[in-house]
Amino acid sequence: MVRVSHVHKYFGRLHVLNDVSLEVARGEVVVVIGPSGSGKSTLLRCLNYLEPVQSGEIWVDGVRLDHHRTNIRQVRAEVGIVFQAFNLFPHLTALRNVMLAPVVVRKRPEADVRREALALLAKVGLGDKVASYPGQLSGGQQQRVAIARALAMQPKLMLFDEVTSALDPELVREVLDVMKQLVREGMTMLVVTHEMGFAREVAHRVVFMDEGRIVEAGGPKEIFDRPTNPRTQAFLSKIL
Amino acid sequence: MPSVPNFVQDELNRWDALLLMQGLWNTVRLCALGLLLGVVIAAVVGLARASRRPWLWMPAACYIEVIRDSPILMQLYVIFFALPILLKVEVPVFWAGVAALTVNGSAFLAEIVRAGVQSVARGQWEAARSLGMGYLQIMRWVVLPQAVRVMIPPGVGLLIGLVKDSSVVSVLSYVELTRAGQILMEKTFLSFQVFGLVALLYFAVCYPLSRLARYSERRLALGG
Repeated sequence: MVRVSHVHKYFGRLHVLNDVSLEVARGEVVVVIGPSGSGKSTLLRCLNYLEPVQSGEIWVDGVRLDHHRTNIRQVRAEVGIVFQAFNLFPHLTALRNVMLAPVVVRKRPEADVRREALALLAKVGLGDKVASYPGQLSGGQQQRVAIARALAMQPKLMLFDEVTSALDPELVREVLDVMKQLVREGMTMLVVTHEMGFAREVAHRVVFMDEGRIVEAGGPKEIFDRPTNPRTQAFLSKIL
Repeated sequence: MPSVPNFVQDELNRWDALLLMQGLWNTVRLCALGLLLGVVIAAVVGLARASRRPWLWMPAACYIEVIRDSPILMQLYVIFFALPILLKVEVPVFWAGVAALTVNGSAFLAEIVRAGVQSVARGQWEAARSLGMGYLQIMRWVVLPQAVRVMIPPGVGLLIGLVKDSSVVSVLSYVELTRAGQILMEKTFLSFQVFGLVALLYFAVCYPLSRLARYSERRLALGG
């Protein structure tokens, strides 16, 4: 589904991604952990070309992302991303937020899209909030609308970029529950998070990044219980 | 006739009133066209100015600076006196006035458009782009609906200023509202009554504009 090979990326002189290679199989859930500034979010953003890379190859669902922009939009339509800051469209209701892309990008009939959008909002537990504007919703509710908005494009891959980091602690669970439901449905997911409990519970594979490199990768048991790399050990001992 | 002040009835006859109405109509025509074309050009120039591509924002920035930093009277002179010599075309007074208002208004308005577009958070662009939307789709559905809200108060302020600036066209002896007032003044010497009335008529044109702004601001307010 995703193949990243030998990717390097710089912000000016800062080497944010240093020879990163990673594969995600269809239906796999990969959780990326690591300290701030380790390049986790950047890696995620490269996967739908919000950030270009300087060298290396990124393939998503058989399409190579490159500087020739021809296929970028097509790939983006297939890859859903949910951001830390929600980034809902504040001038549209929850329902309209979810409907916008399928109608405008996919050019699908509004009635069909509306039916699906209502179902999606019900699925994330917001069936009674379809007419609310983002400003009227709590952080957890906004983030669930954002997940529904991404799902409305029927993506083959979902990217989650620290989606619970901006939430009050009591709102984290409702968002994680929605994500767990997606895992059960077999969605391919790449998740950057600081929620170690979530990682341990749902990840098929955990990747630890530090200073732009993938330091260690393996099953959640291996990484959390028997990390071999000293940097992984140091990081986990600080947060667990 | 209690609704018409006595001095108007006594001192200004029906023909004088007609002249003022003619002037008012010409001012309205002048402004309506100038504002309309100005808004259209400002949208194009402002979006170009907000772009990150040098070949787009540089010419836009030049246009804005050159126009903003010269008086509207000079722009009117250039259009009316210099263009005919350069291009060998006669520019009718009315259209010279429309062009001056268009050019002048569009430059200032373009900056308001730029500021409005840039006031929309980067995250909005990223979210829309990640959904597979292209530049025009993002503008139409995500950015402009949010930017317009920010643009209305300063934009309408500018348009009102432009209505009043349209009085410069009187220097070309075009009989808009101000020129009509001057003619009546020279004829009747009723300076207070005539110019008081002219000011009132300008107010009658501008005030609805600011009401309209207030109304649309409220209608576009974020939900709830």
